[in-house]
Amino acid sequence: MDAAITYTIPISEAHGYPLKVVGGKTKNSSVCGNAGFRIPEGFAITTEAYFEFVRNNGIDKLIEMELSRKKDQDMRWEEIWDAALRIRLAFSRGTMSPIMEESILRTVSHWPEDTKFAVRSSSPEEDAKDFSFAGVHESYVNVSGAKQVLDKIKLVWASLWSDRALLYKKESGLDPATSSMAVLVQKMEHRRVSGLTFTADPSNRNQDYMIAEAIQGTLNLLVDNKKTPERIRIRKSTGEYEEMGNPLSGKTLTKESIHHLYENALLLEALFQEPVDIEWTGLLDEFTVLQVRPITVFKKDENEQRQWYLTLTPSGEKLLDLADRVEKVLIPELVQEGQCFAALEPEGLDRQEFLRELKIRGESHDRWEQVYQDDFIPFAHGIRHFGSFYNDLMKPVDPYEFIHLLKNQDMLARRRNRRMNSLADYLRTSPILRGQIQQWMDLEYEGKLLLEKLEEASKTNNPSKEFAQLFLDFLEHEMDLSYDQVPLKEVPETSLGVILALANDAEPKEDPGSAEKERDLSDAFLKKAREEFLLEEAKNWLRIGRVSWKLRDDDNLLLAKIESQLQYFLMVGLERLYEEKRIDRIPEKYDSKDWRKVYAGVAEKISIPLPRDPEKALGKTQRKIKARQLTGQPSSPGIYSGVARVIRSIRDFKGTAKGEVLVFDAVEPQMTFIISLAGAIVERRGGMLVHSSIIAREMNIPAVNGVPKATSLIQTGDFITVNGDLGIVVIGKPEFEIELGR
Amino acid sequence: MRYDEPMYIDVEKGIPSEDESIETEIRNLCEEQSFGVLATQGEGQPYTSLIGFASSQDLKYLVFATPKETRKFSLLEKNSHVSFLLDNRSTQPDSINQVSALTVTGRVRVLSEKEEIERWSKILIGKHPYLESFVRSDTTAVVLAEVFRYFYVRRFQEVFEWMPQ
Repeated sequence: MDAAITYTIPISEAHGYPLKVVGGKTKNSSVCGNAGFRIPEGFAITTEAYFEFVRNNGIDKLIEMELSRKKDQDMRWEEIWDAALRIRLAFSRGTMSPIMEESILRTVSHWPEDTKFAVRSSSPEEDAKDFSFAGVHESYVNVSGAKQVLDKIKLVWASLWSDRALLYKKESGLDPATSSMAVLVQKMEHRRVSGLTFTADPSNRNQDYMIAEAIQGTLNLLVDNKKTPERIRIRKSTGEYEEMGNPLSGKTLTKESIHHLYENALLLEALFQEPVDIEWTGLLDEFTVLQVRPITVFKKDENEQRQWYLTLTPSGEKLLDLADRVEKVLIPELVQEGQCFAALEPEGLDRQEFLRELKIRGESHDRWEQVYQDDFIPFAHGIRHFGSFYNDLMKPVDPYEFIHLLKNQDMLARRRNRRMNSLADYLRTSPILRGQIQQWMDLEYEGKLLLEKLEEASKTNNPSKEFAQLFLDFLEHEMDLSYDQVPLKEVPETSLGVILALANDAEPKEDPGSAEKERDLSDAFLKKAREEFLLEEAKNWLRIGRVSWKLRDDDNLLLAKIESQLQYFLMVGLERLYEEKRIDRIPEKYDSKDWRKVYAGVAEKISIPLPRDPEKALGKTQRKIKARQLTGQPSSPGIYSGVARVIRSIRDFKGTAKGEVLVFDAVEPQMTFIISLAGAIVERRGGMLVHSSIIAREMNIPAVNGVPKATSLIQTGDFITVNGDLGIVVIGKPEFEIELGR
Repeated sequence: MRYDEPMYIDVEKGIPSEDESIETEIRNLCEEQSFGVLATQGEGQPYTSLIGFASSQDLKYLVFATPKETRKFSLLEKNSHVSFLLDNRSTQPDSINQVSALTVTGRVRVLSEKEEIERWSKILIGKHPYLESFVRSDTTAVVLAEVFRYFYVRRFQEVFEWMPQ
């Protein structure tokens, strides 16, 4: 322990300390206080305290490991979120040294016990002029009680490594060795009116005007966009002002208070010698500066996808509304639309009827894609929010313990797998029937031919009758989906092959303790929440988490059903065009997005461009470099060795045997039924919440994902070992021929 | 199907040739590192020695020099199967993920023809000029290792195998 460490510094003295010790927010506040402005009482926790904490808890090494596990460009955003989640948990599980804790508690004890504090990030780099992406770090308001203050300090530290911060790692120069975070703890000030003043127009830096915004209530209502402020523009040279947008109500800003704000803003700008952005609360005599920082023109983020990602953080209230909308409106609509479409076959319709129905399906498809983007994806992030809430509260050893509270729901994929298992059970009890199905498979009955055989069997009186009926019903209800632009219903051999392979094997393993574990964890979670007075919040988050988890899989299946119906019509349209000699072949696949082209072709009797058919599966390619061991994320625990099968498209399903290690680029929910056969799973797409992780955990199959270039570095037939505990994939047997060859 | 991908966007999904980058990384390591650990063996007993080395342009060979009276020399005379380890620990002392290492397997041959000695000594001295008198001494043997395989380890756990061709 370094006795010379200064853990806390009163805000009144912080202006005398270097920026790198107290951070920007603290330093600027202290400068204001020193110049005679009223600021809330408080103190800073220094970056020295941060450094001691991360060092003592080994968090510096953890961060380093998390960030250098892969090349930056191989890290998917979900993996960045995963890394941030693990880092955050390490912070909240970490312990402060007794001397640090004592020092902070002693300082907090200067205020009465029921004092409410704001615990804010005060990073030395946060408000630097050349880099500003506001809202990267976290701050907490209305924190009461010494223990809560200590907890929140750790979370503010952790936010230096939040997923948002990590997304801008390159631009901000974030570095585990040098980056640090001070924390500003201030007494909450509750005044009637709060607001923001910019001493130059932040949109264009025009220094002739100031902009002020004010609301009734605390500032966070304005910052979090919960209330619409009154807005004015003040000419700097004269102090004259004009309303922007709604007229002033007279209850928030008055002529007198505006003048007071104006004068103070000029003084603060002079103090910092540049245009500033002032957060304040209270008017006239109560005017209190909460924060001052230089105005940064927010750089337009060139990376549009990243910007979009950052919008995916709806607040708790919004998520609750969204949960209602998704569960009660959108999903039922989606189900109904899918069923409605399935009721009408494209064959036998005349041209006009056909075109009308194609258009209805195409437009429906486009509309649901938009809903997916606008509502389903943001809502799916509810799982993450629940995870963060759970981890903050429970501080579990396993960062993904929260998943146990979400599992065991009646998801569509589970229902489908259950039906497949019962069909496999049926075959297990009847060796004759199994032999017959095997024969069909050996004879390579596929597509329409296989469907005809099944139809035939369902009408006869032999033992296959009932099975055929059950299977056809299964196809109709569970496989009316499009995967890889192929309606799965039309390739019955894929699911029948899987059912046969399941039947050829012992019974699938179940996780008997799963429901019990869920109950225990759920009880402990709600008990702890009650103790911390967070029960309502906890229940809401749990609800959001559960609906979000279910939707995560179901929405894809339901959308695939809509797409499947569109695909039928597209194929019939393409057949018409072929018969009319508008096109010279019927492509294997046709992109649903291009439905309008087929529509135009049929409607106007014109030829249309066709996509190229995909190349046939490549043979084993010779590579000079052979991967022997690859790393990814451990996404489902266990270790398993077996023969690899690389699944690139639906064609690769054929011949998959029980116990093979399935290697995917990205697993979609429509195809997860094949996972019933897998001994283990490897996937390029990484993340703890991707479909393969969810299914693998539900089925207790070892899985590693986030393996860059998995489908090109592993080849079908390779012997591989999947270590789902460590996230390692070993290719080849451990021993290799001794180097005698040459 | 594209439905799922937007939720978890990939920063970069392209698949550049891994072959090229691994080969370059192996080459860089061989060129940047001056020393490595040579493993020889005798009667079941492995024996390691720190040596200075140089690689041929095509990475098919490694060359080093050793005094003839050393233990490693007598061991490699009896058994030519060797292994060699080099790594960048010294420049990445604090980060296991930044460390990369190369395990090389191959067979050695003590050079005896004058021209051959001259050719390979030049390559070795080119990389280690301060070793000139040592390399040129009559009591020193110049040893050439023909590389069978490189096992390249990076990021703590990623392992690739490469055979120079």
